[in-house]
Amino acid sequence: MKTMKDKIIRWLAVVLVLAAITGARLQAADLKLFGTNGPPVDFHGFVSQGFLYSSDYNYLGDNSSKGSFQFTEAALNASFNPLPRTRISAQAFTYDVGDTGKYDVILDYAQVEFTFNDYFGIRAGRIRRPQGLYNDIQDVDVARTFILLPQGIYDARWRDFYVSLDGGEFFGTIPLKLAGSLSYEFYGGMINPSMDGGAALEISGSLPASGQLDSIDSAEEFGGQLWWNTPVDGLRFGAAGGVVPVFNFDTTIQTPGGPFNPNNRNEAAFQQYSAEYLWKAWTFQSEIYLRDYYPETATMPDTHLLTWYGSVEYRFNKWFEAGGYYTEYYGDLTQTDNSLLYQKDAALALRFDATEWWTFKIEGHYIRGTGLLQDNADNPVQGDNGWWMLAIKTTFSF
Amino acid sequence: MKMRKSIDSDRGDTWPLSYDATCRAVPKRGLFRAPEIRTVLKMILACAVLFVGAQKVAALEGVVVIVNKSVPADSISAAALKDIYTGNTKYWPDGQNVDIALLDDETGTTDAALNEVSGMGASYFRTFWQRMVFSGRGQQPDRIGDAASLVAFVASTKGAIALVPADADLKGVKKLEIK
Repeated sequence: MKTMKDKIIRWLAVVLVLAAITGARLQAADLKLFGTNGPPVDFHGFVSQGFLYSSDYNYLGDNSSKGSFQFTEAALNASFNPLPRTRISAQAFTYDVGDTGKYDVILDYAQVEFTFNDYFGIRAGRIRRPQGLYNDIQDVDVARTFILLPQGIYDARWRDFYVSLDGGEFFGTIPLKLAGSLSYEFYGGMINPSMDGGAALEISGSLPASGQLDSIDSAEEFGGQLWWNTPVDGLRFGAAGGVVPVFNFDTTIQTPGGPFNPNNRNEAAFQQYSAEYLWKAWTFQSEIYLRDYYPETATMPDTHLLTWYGSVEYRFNKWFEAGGYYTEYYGDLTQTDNSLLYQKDAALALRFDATEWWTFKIEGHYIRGTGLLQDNADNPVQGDNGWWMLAIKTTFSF
Repeated sequence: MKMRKSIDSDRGDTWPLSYDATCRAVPKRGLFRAPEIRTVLKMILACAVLFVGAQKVAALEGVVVIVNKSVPADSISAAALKDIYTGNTKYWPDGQNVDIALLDDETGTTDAALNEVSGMGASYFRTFWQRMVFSGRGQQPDRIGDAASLVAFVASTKGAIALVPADADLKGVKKLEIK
């Protein structure tokens, strides 16, 4: 059923497409909203529409085994510098990926940033959380080669859990003379998982038929990201870590003896290590991600999962770029041979930049295992060790 | 004349002797003796420095760095320039916002210089700044279609910096020397 939000987003996409067809150039707006003597306000935005088809399962897009257009993202941001060393910026975001998002318009970030100097700055408000190469831009299609990033790390359905938090961070870059430089970001704040998000979907999928998810609490998260920018041009290494001391959600399980509310308090922690090398038109990247869950209930086991990937990208010219990656996700390191719990993915992608503001991508995946499916209701039979996925996406940006 | 073992033979060396014009035996130094290898390495390092330096100069030949006259600097180091173009430096020493402007003409006149300054090709540079903008960590550089308009933009925008062809009319802006 189309909601008003649905219609607005689709009309916005139509307007942008028409502008492209008529040759209108999308340009970032730079408006003097505060008068000719006031600071200019920069506006940018994008609209992405994708198509997903999977040979065997319904994955990411709803009903993707028949082809799904439920893969839409759009954002609009504004920023200006009201005072020296100060910047205020905000971004609204909406998305629909399968059963998550549902075009809810969310405040993606809204922050004040003060930079004392290159070595130290503060950012506060709702901020995008830094983690690895792609967490802070995992839903910005135009800023990368691939349509689908390695989903074991950058799950398109989990953005409400991973991408933003309400709090603040310190940041800066420290020169190390002959050893290059060290960039850092340390953050703390509250994450706000949504009942329409990936965490809610996974929890609901894991409950018995008589169970329901009632609510997910906001949770504190603390962490940091370091980047060593080495003296070798284009080479850098990163390390990230974080902890959610208490992650809690409320569920009700109907039993013959009456409703039962189990203890769902967990502690979660993660580590991520990254490497990137840019050489001429080549980009080489690799990351490894480890996540641990520690339930408070003694009867529930700790869970340790791991994802790693390696990727290569090559820019042929200003229009074409190609890339490929191989990734492995293990949902339980004690059962690495269980195809229900692992997902291995080999991907090839082609990006076409028709203009500065219009990008088109096509991508194929060969996947073994179903560890990331989550949607048990839509995928009652899992564990297939060899299935395909096609993704196509176009983005208009300014 | 028969080759005889060197005077270092008591140390077990097997380097042969060489002979001067009077046929007097002279110990011949091997290529891999420590003093020689240090000298060779110094020569290689010197050549590398000259080569890299020459490459840097060659890539920025024909292109100059210009800034708005409000910018409190007359020169800039290559490292500081890279920090600006990679988003590590967002403000000038007096707190003014660094406003990067790019020449966005069809010929890619300044692309090579941009690559040399930032370490990124033109496409990756665009993607890099899109990441900065949509993650809330920076402001997108302004793109201007021709050199004259770019110079005019820099002249009228406080804190602006740009790479322009050296033959452009630089009226109203200040040129930064790269030190």
